[in-house]
Amino acid sequence: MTMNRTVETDAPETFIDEINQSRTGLGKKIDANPEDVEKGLAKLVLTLIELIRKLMEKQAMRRVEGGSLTDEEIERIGETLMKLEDKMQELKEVFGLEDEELNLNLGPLGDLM
Amino acid sequence: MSRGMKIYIYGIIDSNNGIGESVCGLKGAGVYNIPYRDIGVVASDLNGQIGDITQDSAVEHERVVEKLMINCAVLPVKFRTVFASRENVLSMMKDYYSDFRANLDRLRDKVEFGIKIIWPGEAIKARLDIDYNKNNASVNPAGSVKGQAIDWPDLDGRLADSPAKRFLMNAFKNYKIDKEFKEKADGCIAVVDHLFSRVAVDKKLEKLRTDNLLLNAAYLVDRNKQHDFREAFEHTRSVHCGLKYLFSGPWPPYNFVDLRGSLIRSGMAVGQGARVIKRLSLKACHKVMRYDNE
Repeated sequence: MTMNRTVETDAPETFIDEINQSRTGLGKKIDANPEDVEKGLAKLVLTLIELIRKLMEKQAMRRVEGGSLTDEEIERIGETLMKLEDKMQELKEVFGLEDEELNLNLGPLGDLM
Repeated sequence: MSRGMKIYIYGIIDSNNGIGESVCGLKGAGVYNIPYRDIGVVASDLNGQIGDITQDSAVEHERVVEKLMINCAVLPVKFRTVFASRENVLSMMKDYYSDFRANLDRLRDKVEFGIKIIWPGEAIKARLDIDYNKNNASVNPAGSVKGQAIDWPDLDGRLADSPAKRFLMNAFKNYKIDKEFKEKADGCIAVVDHLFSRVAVDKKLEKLRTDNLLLNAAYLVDRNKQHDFREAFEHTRSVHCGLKYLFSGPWPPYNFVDLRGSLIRSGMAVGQGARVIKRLSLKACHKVMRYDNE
């Protein structure tokens, strides 16, 4: 008896494209070879910063949704988030990283972002 | 075993007997069982390096696991798992015997099926964007969703042109669209998953790995219910025909080996336990294999 394996799809090319896209992000190992060690570590650190930035942004959005913010608070939060995003953009450019590279696969928990 | 020889392992089985039929392993190596109490580790001797990942080697590993499943319950081990010596293998078995035993009992006569579903996610998001702009243009620039106005503070024009406020408004718009997008995805997944869950005994669902990849799921199914699961798939495909499907299986139950107890304990223990579990990491390698096979 053997297992009667089937792999069946009506759109193989589409699935290949999507699976390839879903594989971007931080690999399971940090690229720590002598040439790229700086970039590998930067990728890890920026991924964690990006996580914290997104959590802050989400919390701010919930407060906006709740309608409890004053105009001063809106201005301050907006400015903070904007500056954080600008700074992240700057750092990504310095290390030659794209948005989709700043992700981390947490196994059964899914992706960090 | 000669000096420099390592041990490549394929899986853990609920038998301490020899491997009956001639099973050919990685690079044509012989496959044998390393018994520990009433279970065993199926292994090959590996001379030198394991080499590059190739489709052939992945398929060789998978074939061994499949052959083992004919007569045994199997915990498939991740492709390319190598131990330095037989003593290391036995030490790992001693540490995690009870977890392996529990998993073997739970997964006996079970197989895994994979379901991937693509929906027009990008188009749905674009539609939500248009709707958001349409619904909120007349209310205020910050917006409302589903007719519920967001109560922005009265800014008296002081902050109306502030870049910070515009940034926050835009972020809020993206937040609301994303939220509604995920709610739609949850609704769609619930409908489809309901049909599969009636046949499966367990499942692992991963939603929206990309905007278009709505669902990447693994279902654990009784071996004698394989036909029913296949029928559930055909029914789903015919009812929800606007989606694209990828069906695969039956596979060894890679995604359903649960070693959480071991991991918790290894976190408390020092040294070898934690190192061994990292090397063993009984996780799904079939995703790679499936993709390679495609």
